[in-house]
Amino acid sequence: MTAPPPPPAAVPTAHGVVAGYGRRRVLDGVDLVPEPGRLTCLVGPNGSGKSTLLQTLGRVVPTRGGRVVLDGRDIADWPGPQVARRVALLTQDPQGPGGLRVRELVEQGRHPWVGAFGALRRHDDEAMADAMTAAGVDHLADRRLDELSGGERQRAWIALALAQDTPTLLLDEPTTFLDVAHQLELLRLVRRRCDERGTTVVVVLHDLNQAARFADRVVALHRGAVVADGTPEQVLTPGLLREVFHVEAVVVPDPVTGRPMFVPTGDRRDDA
Amino acid sequence: MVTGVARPGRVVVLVVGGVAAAAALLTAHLAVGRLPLPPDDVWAALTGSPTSAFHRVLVVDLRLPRALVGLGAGALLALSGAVLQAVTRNPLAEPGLVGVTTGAALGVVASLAVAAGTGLSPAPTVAALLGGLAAGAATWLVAGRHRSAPGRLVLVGALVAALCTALTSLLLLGRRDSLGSVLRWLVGSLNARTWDDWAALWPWLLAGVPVGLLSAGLVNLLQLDDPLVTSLGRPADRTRLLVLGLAVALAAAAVSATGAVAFVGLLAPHVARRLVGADARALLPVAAVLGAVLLSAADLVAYSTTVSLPGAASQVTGLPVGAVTAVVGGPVLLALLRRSRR
Ligand SMILES: Nc1ncnc2c1ncn2[C@@H]1O[C@H](COP(=O)(O)OP(=O)(O)O)[C@@H](O)[C@H]1O
Ligand SMILES: [Mg+2]
Repeated sequence: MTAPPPPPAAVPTAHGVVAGYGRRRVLDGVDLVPEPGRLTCLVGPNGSGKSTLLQTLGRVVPTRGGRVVLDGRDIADWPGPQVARRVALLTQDPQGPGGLRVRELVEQGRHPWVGAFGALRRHDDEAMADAMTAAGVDHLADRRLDELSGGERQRAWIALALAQDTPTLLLDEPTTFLDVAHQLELLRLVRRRCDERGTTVVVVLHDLNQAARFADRVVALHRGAVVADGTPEQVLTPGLLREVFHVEAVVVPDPVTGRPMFVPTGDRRDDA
Repeated sequence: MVTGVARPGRVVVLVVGGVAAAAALLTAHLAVGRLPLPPDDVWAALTGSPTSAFHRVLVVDLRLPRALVGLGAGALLALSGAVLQAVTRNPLAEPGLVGVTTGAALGVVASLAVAAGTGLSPAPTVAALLGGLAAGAATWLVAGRHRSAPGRLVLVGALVAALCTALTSLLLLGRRDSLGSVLRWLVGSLNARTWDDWAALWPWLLAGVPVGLLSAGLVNLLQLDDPLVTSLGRPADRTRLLVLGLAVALAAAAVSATGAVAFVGLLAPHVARRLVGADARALLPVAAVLGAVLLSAADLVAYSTTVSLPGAASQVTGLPVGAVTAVVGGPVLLALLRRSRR
């Protein structure tokens, strides 16, 4: 039943993508070619189109111009389950019934492999157990979603995406509801997936210092267009911060990693 | 095993217990009534042993089909409600809320009007089925895009239901003579169900219940929001349409046999969810047997209540079961909801 895992090169890539909602054009010719096995971080102000871009890569939002290509084929031409075996997308604000238990939620991640009427096999059990352990929710398997804290629930959703067992992982602000310790834990987990399994990750993060610390590559979006694309050092500059985020900051080397680290300057108390 | 239904033993116990309760209710239906029969007489009537022809007619031709239709329709209503609640992502959805039950009533009333005008007389069960399906389809179409937004489908369904009710009232205004025969479709009743009604219902049970239970995997998936469903490889809109169509068909079939019985399609899935949780593989079978038991038990009450009515003349056909489910179901549901808002 289950096909062998597709080669890790099966990464969705965006080429001149135009997308939007109704009359509104949100993405205006965006190129994004995530490097296989690397962690790419999408940054940009609210409303710049990060979620929309991630969803076009996951075939959830259709393109109106340009192409999203997966394994040499336009992603729109792929059968849905085939895409879902290659690309997992965790949306920014996922919704599910509160009465569902964590394991039942995570099980939905096996849907692309099992189908609507198939039964779970041992391989599926293993993928789920693995995902729940990795996301740190194995001890919550029998709890209902509405009995969890915001952070626990967020990790349950991450387990759902991991259970899809895909070579590409698209995560939209996965750290939003987590405390600092869990944010770091999650980013380390994602980093490990890249380093140990060769998973290709595109993740939207709001904390630029975390982006600088964990990403191999940073892509900055502004008003639906890519304005910077490169290593954290190349992209995360005071100039970018000023132009895109309207924040004055100095960049110093992170004392732990040596990566760029921002220290905002414009909001010191004695300025007020 | 990490996966599979949580506490499968509990599900099995509930389903087996429910089926046993349904069997007990079936037996009770045969024995209880304006003329209570001792078990011996029921048995004799059923097995064809020499007995009074009156008992035979009473048990085999009057009570048995009524009891079977009640059990079957209850199961269909509950299954439909459970599926609808998942597809609309609204725990308060039920067949009535997407217009199916009022549509069925309108179908019957409209068919009577047509019959009066043209001399044709379409079978009321067929008219009810078509009316229910049409109302369900109208709800779906009017909801248009974003129909999976929680509340949207139910809001449109409530409007369609209100429209159906208004049209029904309008049609009835001109035909007060037919009010009596129409009332049982409006309130929902199992009085005077015959083998014909059972003949129209059982194919739906035979096809609809297995298909409904098999769809549990899809129903589980559809509890998630549209972007997630899509990213898990299913076209969200088309899948919702498919499963919603199934739920509408199940409800329309039930309503074509019973009329617009209130609350069973809401209460049974609600109680089932409290017992076994939201996993459709456990929820759907438990809801179905609960629905059968609920409607059958309510009908037993409806049926027995007539006996104690003072001065019940022989023309009185008995309290409609829909009145019992509404009077009992409403407060029970309110109590459940009150307790669930912690
Ligand atoms: N489902 C939607 N329907 C209509 N407009 C949307 C939808 N999702 C996002 N938008 C709009 O598109 C723009 C970009 O949104 P989004 O991609 O979510 O940005 P970001 O994730 O960078 O904050 C915003 O102005 C937002 O209002
Ligand atoms: Mg976003």
